Amino acid sequence: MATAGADTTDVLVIGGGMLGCATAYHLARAGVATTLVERDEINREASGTNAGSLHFQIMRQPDYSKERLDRIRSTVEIHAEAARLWSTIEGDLGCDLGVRLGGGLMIAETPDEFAALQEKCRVERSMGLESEILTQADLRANYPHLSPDLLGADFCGDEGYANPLLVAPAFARGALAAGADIRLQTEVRNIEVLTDGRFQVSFPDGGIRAKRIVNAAGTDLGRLSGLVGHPIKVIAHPLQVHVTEPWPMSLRQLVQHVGRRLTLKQTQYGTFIIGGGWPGRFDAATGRKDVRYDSVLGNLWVAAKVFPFLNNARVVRSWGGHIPITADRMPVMGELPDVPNFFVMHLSAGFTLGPIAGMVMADLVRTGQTSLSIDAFRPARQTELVT
Amino acid sequence: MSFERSADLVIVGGGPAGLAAAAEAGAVGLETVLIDERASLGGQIYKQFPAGFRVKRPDRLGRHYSDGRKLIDAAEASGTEIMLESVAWGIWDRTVAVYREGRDAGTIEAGQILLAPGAYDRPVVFPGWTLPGVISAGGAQALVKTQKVIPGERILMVGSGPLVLAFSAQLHQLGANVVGVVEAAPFPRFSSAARIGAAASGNVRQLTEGVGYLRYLRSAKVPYVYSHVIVRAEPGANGEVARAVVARVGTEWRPIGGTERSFDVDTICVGYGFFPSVELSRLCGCAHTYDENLGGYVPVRDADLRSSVPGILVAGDGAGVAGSAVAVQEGRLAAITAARDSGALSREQAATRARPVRAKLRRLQRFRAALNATYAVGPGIYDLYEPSTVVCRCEEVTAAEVLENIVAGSADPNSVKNVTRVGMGQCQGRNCARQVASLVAGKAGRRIDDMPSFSARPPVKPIPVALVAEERPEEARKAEVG
Repeated sequence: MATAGADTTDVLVIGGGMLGCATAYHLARAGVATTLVERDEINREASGTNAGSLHFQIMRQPDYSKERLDRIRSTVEIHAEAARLWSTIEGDLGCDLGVRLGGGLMIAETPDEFAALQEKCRVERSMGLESEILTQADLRANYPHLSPDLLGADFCGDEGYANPLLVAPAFARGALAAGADIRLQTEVRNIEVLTDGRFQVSFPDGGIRAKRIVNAAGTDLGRLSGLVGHPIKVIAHPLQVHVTEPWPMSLRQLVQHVGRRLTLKQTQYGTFIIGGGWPGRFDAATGRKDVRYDSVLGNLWVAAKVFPFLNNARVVRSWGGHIPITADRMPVMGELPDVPNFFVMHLSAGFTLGPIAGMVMADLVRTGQTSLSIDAFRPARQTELVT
Repeated sequence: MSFERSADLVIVGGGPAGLAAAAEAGAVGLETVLIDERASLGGQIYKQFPAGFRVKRPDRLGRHYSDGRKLIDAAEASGTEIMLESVAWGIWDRTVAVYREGRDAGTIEAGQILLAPGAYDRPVVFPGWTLPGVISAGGAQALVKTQKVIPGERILMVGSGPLVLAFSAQLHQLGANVVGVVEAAPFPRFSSAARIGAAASGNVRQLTEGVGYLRYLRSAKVPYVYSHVIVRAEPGANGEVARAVVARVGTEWRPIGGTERSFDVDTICVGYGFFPSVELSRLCGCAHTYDENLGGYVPVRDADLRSSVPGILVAGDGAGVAGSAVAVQEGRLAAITAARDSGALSREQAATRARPVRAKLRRLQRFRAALNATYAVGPGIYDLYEPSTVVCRCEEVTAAEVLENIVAGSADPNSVKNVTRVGMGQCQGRNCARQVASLVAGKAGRRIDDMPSFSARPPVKPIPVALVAEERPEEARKAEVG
């Protein structure tokens, strides 16, 4: 139990996105005095502005060299755990998070794309990932709303989507109920390592002393790790997402495109969410993330080409978000090499892995052990990549 | 199909401000395009008859009709290109994105942009406000004006300000059964009457109109109740509104216990003023300030009606609700400013042209300020809800759901929006944003003018995918990450 407003805590979690909230939730439930600070509001950055896709297929690779295969292999286990966790998360948290696990189709339009899907599927199956190739005939028979021109798809039954607006807030509420202290509008200005190994953390108005720190600050991750001597490079890519008015259910799968920027799904409310990483616009002066005109047109065009029903729909809202990624696009999870009790966590494109990562990080902070291997994600790799 | 074009000046909105601006811009030689989403010009106040109606005897439609017609004729004769049924759904720097309903979409590169979006009825959240038969005064007025339809058989008018008075009298003149007029402001004291009177010099028409309406309603024996607001609308057996309950209020518009009285009705017209349509000015990044009496957040402007963003001007009710007479003069002034800033007029020419316009504006604004002081909106307007009252009618979110989902001391309406969907529906938050801000402010112990707004996002009106979608180069192949 953390006392609200206290000037000491056991674990200080920095960042009110999905990672910070999930970690705080698991720590507080395990009885650890936990304080979470957020410079703005809960879930306002990447965790809440992405399109909510749950990806378990691997992305198309330019080649399947040993190095790439090793990297992919290092994330297979955590992805498998993540898939299990998403199937039970609404029950665990006791609320509706809009989770729909109807499977995911990565579709191909051209023979080249279809060949790439087939190669990708072979790699997936060799790693134990249950995916399968659907032919044009399969698609036409089973997915009548998809364009009949598509040549095929790679289908993965674990895929789906969840509502990114609800997940981090649900963890935050759970953390509060379990006794965590959450402080909004509280930006970390400085972190000092005291002689006893604890941390003195200062805010614009006050500060807190913590035994341990979990840095889950997203785009601010690098700056905060830099305060204790380990800057980590995180680059924010601005992107945008669109939502239509509600329609009767006609799409229960996550749809993405192997060769174009597209993700598409229909939510529990009947609205279609159209994303896929078309670039947005970031105004460094105001911090405002906006959509770009040409990206609106292009994103909607791809979506309607793949799913022509959208030609009946209207977009009611578009928003800008960003995707903060590390230099090698790999997750980061672990303790900083020579700053004991300072933990860093970051997932590039991490919505899918958020809940499992929070659980694993809480275990690591509490016990020094994790149930699955996170060796490949150690922060030392990233600090080497800064220069 | 898409179009790409350009213009010296793009005017968004074909109401009094936009029309007057178009006429002036044409007169000084600016190549101008005026965009309006409706099928005819005139805005809300000078709304024209729909297709299929033909005016045979304009003289019988009154001065109001002829005022509007004159503005429209002048704009149409000015050389301005008028795009109707056209929605300006987003603005990027000086590029206005437009779609034309059922036709096409494209962009207009503007030298300057004049926003003249007007205002919409202030939604007021009270138990029963979503019942069939509870309508906005502006909506009712549109029915009467353009379709000659009287919205019900037992009509109660509730609200505040000159429009409630004028509209009640107009409705009654058309033969409607107006069972009462319930005004939130107190009976005009000598001091406020004197203030309005003093400011009326040069505004005689506005003042005599008001006095005339009041006299008319008195002679027609329509009950006129001061210092009361609507507190509840109750349904009848058919599920439609059957009873309106009003209560006496103090200066802050908070109902006083034990003063309730009710009216048997089938229609309640709700007219507590207007909100400026600031969606586009907010999207453009213009600075805004909060003034409840001007309708809430309004763009900050200099004396020549420039916003804080270069090249973006704002005129009329969309910059703070002040009525059509002010809007016309502001439209003229904004066009003169645009002409000066583009070099079409010299500084001296612009000053000369603007002088009489500024004089008229000063006089009108004095009158308006006196009215605003008399009909100032009380903060109690935000506290008429009960926990079970629907706040967001698009997504059917109640006040209780909003309050329960404000967590960890959040003082930002966007957070509760994200988890409850309040403000996410078709109206894009126009109706509930302020009520939600008030709930969040109340829980955080802050003031409503201290609350951030719902984030400004395009499109400001829903866009049809089929019209807008267009192939664009993808700058890079999809990255390895999704």
